[in-house]
Amino acid sequence: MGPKGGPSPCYATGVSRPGPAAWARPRVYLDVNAGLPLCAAARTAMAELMAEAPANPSSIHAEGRAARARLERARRQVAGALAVDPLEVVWTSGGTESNVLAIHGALGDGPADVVVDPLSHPSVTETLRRLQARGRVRLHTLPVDDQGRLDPAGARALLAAVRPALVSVCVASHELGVVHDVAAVARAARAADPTVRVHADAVQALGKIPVDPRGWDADLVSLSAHKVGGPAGVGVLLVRRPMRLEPPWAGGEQERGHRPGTEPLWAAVPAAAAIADAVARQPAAARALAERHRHLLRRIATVDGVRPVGCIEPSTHNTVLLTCDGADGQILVMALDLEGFAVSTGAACSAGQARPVAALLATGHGEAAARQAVRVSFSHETDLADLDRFVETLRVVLPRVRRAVRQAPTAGAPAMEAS
Amino acid sequence: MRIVCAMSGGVDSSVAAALLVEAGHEVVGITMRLYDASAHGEASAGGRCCSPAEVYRAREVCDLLGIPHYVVDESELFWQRVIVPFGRDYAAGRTPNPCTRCNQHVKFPPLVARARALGAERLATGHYARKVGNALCRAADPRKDQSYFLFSMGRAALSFVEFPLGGMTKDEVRARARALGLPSADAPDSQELCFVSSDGHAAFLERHAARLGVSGEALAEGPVLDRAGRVVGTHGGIHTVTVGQRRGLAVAGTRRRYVLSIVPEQRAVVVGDAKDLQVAGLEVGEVCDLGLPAEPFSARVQVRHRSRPYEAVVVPGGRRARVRFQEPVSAVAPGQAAVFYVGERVVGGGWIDRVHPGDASP
Repeated sequence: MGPKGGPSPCYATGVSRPGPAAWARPRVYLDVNAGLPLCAAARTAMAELMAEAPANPSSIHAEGRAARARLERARRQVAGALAVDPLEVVWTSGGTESNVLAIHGALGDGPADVVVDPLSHPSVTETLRRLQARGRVRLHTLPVDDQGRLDPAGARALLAAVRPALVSVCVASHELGVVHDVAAVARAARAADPTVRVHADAVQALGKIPVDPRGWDADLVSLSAHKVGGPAGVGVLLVRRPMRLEPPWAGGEQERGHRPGTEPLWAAVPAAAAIADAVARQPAAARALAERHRHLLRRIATVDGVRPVGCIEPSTHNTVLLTCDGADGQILVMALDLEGFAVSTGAACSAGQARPVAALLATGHGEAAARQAVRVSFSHETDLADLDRFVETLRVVLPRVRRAVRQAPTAGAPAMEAS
Repeated sequence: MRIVCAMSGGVDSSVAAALLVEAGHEVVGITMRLYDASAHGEASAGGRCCSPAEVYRAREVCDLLGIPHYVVDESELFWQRVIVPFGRDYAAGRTPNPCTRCNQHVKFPPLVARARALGAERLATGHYARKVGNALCRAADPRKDQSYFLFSMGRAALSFVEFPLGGMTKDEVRARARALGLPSADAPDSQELCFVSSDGHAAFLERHAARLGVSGEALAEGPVLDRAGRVVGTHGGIHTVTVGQRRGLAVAGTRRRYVLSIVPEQRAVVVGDAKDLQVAGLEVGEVCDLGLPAEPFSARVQVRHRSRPYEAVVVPGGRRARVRFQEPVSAVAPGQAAVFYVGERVVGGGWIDRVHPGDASP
């Protein structure tokens, strides 16, 4: 800036367009749970598709049949990767739609008991809460401990007592990386009532741990493409036979009536490529993730007042939620961003509202801890050296953020009202 | 250097950010979400400062400038520190100044703290005011000067802020915005309070009385009295009137009557002639110090945003101060800010809590 007391001469110079900034820093992407960049397999599939310029897959004519053939090839690719029947693969617009479609589709009109995993994504919990508010659902929550571990005996007892119409399990938590045993929940639920529908949200499991719809004995499985390097805006809901969905909207017989609307061919083809790729490389990825997970946890242990939550087995080994004493998760995310590190506070939010991390509330850590947390999520390709740089940057940034929190208590944040 | 620029989405803060980018700084835009009309069951005050639409515009500008932009929600703080006192002031017969309260409690201290947390060395805003050394001074454009609203920002914040527009006129700012292709270049200036919709502040207070901790009774109609205490009419609630007001009073007779004072205990409004509005001095509380002399000093004291300052002697006394005007001043409303200028400089100010009527200098 120029001399104090007024605009410096440089304020008054001519208009310039913003160019590459001199302060640009190398970026380290540690928000893999929010989405991965497009992978090579998906890019190749997209490029091929653009050359083909396909028509509407539901048309009777030759152009339509060609498009249909392309769509079904993609469907078989997904089915093959997940060892299910192609007729069980339903294209959706992403993880949220898969979850909402599963819930609405599995429930009838009458009031039904539903058991939900407390670590579920908001597209599950908020959808069910809304249905509960309208009197269509009586909601029950699976018991978890303070690290997000499912309590098997408690779960069995709850399922036996409630005998729900639907149980929705979060295979891998987007906030904690904790893995829940779908097969065990499905067994207990079916023992209580053989007509129960079991939904497994596997969006954050894909590519990190084995996704095994048959082994889980799940009726409905949600997947999203962009979490594994496919395009955003496309996902899959596996609707396992003999289950039929009652979709909440009508107007077409596409996807065998499960999901009316023209099939998203442009998105489905690269999505299938990315999903197949993720499944193929999963065993190797799991080993690489476990190494990075151990490494990060060792380094984080050297930072004062920072505690990981939910780093237990089994895990995706790619997610570390850190509660940072005396800090504010939202400010921390911004401060780290400016230093070149992409992390998050949990669920993405654009309105600026600092929402507490839901998994920390669900595991009984309280509002204060839930507002002090940042989530680090990495891929099997993340550099160990980048994780080291992240920890060192956190060590530098944290005192700054803590000082700000002490100086400017924000109303509505109980952690800070106390100071 | 890294500078956080407070972005309201309007033309002023957009140009402030653009100037800093041009000067080669690492600029970070932050928009505070202060009030969402729809969340309070209000018709949207659309397009005003810090509404969702303005947040959208601020983001658009930051994208255009190629700088990071963050949104922080301070709506709870804004409600508690600005809107609640706004309601209580009116219910107590005072005329509040919410923009200054917002600067004091919501804008500057939290933003300075956030800027420091982000590793910034400065906080810039689009206010029309100048900083000379560590002194707060009037802007170069007297029609846009906002130094009156900034007296309560505090010394710590003042030492950390920059006002890139302080030396520019509004016309220059608009020209710069057009040259940059900013979408807000020709948007009209906001004149209204950001949280009050088109039916005015009185209707707003009546709708939200309970949440503001204001009893319905405090907002009920009451008597209009003359200076002798005779009832000469009725008013629609003390929150609907301001000292110096002439219109909107149901008073018998043809003489022009002005609101002289408000007596909240009796829910009464006292009216009289223009000459009765004259004030010889003030008492000021919650004094904010931006360089106050320890001894009584001559100053020019401004008691409203759109008013000229008046020559006075200010007698400081810790958190309070007394003001004696050299000439009588008309229509001074308790609740408004009295800001002390020495030359162009703001040395401090406070909130008017008592006026001394009279047309003669003491």
